[in-house]
Amino acid sequence: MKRRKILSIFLALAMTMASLTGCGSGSEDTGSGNDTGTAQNTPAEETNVADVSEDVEEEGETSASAEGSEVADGYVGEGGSYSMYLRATFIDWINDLEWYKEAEKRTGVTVEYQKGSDSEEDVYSEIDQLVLSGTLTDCTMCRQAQANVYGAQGAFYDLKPLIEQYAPHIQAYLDSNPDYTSLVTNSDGSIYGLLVEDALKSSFIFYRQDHFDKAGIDVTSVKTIEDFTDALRKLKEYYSDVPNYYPLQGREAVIRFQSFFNAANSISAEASHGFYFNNVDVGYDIHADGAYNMVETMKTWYDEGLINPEWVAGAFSEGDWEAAMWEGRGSVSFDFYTRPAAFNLEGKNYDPDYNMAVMDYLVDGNGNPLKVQTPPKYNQRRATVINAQASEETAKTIIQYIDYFYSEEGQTLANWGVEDVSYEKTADGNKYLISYDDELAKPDGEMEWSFLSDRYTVCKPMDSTAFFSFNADMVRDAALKLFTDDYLQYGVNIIYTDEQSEELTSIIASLKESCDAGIISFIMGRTELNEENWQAFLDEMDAAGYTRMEEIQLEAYKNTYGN
Amino acid sequence: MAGKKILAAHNPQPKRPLVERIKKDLKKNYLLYLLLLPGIFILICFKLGPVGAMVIAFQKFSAFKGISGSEWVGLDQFVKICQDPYMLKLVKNTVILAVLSIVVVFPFPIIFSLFLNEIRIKKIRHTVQSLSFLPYFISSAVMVSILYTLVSPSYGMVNKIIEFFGGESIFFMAEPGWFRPLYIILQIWQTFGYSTVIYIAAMMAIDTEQYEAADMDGASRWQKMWYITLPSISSSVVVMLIISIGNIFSVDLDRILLMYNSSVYETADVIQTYVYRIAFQSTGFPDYSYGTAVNMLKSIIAFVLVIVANKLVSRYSETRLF
Repeated sequence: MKRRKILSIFLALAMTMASLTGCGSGSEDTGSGNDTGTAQNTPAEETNVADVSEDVEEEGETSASAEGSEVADGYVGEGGSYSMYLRATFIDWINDLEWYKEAEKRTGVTVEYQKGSDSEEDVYSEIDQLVLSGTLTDCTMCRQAQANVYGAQGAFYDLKPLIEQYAPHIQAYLDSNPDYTSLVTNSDGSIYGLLVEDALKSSFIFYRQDHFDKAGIDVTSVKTIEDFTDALRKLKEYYSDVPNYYPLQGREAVIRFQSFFNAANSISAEASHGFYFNNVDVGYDIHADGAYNMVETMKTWYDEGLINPEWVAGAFSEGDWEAAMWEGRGSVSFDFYTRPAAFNLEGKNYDPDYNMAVMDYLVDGNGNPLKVQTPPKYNQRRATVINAQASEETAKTIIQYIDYFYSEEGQTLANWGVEDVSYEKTADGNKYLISYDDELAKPDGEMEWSFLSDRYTVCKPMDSTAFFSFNADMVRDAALKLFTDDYLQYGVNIIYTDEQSEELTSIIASLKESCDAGIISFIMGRTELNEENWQAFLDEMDAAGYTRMEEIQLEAYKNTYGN
Repeated sequence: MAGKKILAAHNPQPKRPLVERIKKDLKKNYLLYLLLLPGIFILICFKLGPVGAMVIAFQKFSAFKGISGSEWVGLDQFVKICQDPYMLKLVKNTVILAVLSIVVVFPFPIIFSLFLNEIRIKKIRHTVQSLSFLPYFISSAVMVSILYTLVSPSYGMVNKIIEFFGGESIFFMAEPGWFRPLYIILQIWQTFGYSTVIYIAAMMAIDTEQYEAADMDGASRWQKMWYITLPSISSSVVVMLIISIGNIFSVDLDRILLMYNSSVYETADVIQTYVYRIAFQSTGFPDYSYGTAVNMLKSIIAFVLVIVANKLVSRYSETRLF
């Protein structure tokens, strides 16, 4: 009896302890910097980096002494290590990048990456939780809004003095790019996050050239939206015996053709039109002159079976779209610029004649190019921040490692790789020695020379020529031809205050869905499309906050860039 | 003397103070209390404790400052909810879905278990019961994928049958009018097996003598179901009903997000999807406080409904939840 009692007590206590397993923050383990001492005083309260180490000038351009690696001329630090919390996908990419491993070798810096979720949105929520529990790694990548709000509250280092002291190449970049400096500088004058620079790119109109040839369509004759619609009609007629064939196919949002109707969003010091907040590269303006024409034309596509009705309804997944395009149930799409090459890779397995090609952008009735939207130059969803809990020595290591990618050598390494290994210098500039198809064909986990995914992970300036050159020939040629000032409407970075962001989020949460649903309803014929109903729709949207949204966007633009 | 003893027995001594009684009970049953300890810990740490965090509904919450450091804004978030013109539409959509869930989904497992109970061959009964329980373990993502495949206008089996009989293909997933029926069908499919298990368990406890007596009296199967089985499981039915009422605002967010598209937005947008868009899909700073305030309001209304339902049930029957 006594033994049973003791056993019962022991079991009860063990269960109690077990139920508490996992409680506790264990924050002391999170820092993996070369100096694990934590700086409890936040940079907002106290940052005196000048006392920490000697001048950068004194340090000179010292390089890491990693064994067997090339000396890094552009690196001003002394190596070290730190930890970084990042989206799992990004870490998987980084781990496979040859040039990235070379950068670590040359600088002697080791980054211990900690994997977050695969979904970028989830990672940002996880960062909130890590900030809350005090277990954030030395460094991470978050939204600029998070960087500024938490930074001002003392969660992140003010990078400005760190850059001044330890990062001459970043400082030079800030000096020569006042717009960027203004964008990353918070209202309190501090810099809490450095933004990733993005390539200025847009979607391509791509088409099955073999289908066009068979249907007798000369793609060079497709210039205006009317020509485009005629081409869809011819395709529909030619492939009328193919079940479920719709010439125009796509995925996700179907309202994406606004640029070809002059109904895209826009913003300037004078006016803001349409959805801009959160929708820079995809937003439309229902008040634009061409908006009615856009809906009318899309309704024609829908009524005549030229566009996939499931896609219009929003019930067509990415997998469905890919299957339709591979299996010959579609001929034309308007989607991400690398997609045509990806379709060609797999398409040959379905049809030996499979040949996806890129069409020129459409022009208006006067022959003027209709400019397509791009995201902003700097990605405000990816701000690199340094945890205020990291030691000043670790913060120095981090900022100097980022600085390396702003040096000439660092940029060359990240954009082209190693000379005579991944690229060569020619009279016409750099040329890749490695093949895009060969590198992309390598399985996950195998090291590769890739210059596509770098933009997601390392904060550095962008070399667009290098970026687009590392692509399938067709995509490279089209990108270098079409991604120019003539054809692109560049997205603008805007800083929204907390209040503006909160109000816009609240308005758009209901307005955008209502607007999309209203337009879809017209296209599908649930609401009759006529001038009267269209005006009623516009009035309803204005009352639901459309006008107010435009006012706030304009206000934010003026705050960011002045009147 | 004997009379005094009898008097004492009829006049019990005054109760000892509560603390004293607890002490005595603890001393007497300390082993039982010890065994209760892990459960109490879990209840406090993981159930009751987090409820306290709902205080962020009254703050402008910052994850860095935490609950103690965030700015106190009082009822601002609740005022914002009340002033939101869109909230009325969301409440309407949510309540319609919830009421349909109770009216249509709730009776289904009761009817099913009544019929299942009538199957004489045990093997068949158990097999059917197990099969009906299986969908409970299938994720919403898989369920919705199956639904998409079944009702697709291009290749879906349902539309093929409609066309076979000369009808016109229906675009189920894009028709606002079809969203609610499809949601309810999935709900029934996924949950009726679970509830059936509870009702069948209650039926197992019914005294077989009642059925034998009914047989002697010449009662038909329908009469036995109506007059013996159903009244005998009424306590379980009442408890399940009150729990369902408590969940009246809790629609299945995963399922809705998966079924949601611009075409069905009119009927599919509910409180949860709206809060999700505001609190978690924002590229600005996430508004946790607003999301919590909406959920808190939802919980308070659901709690009041449970109390009212419990009172009503106790007035009209002998069963109540608490």
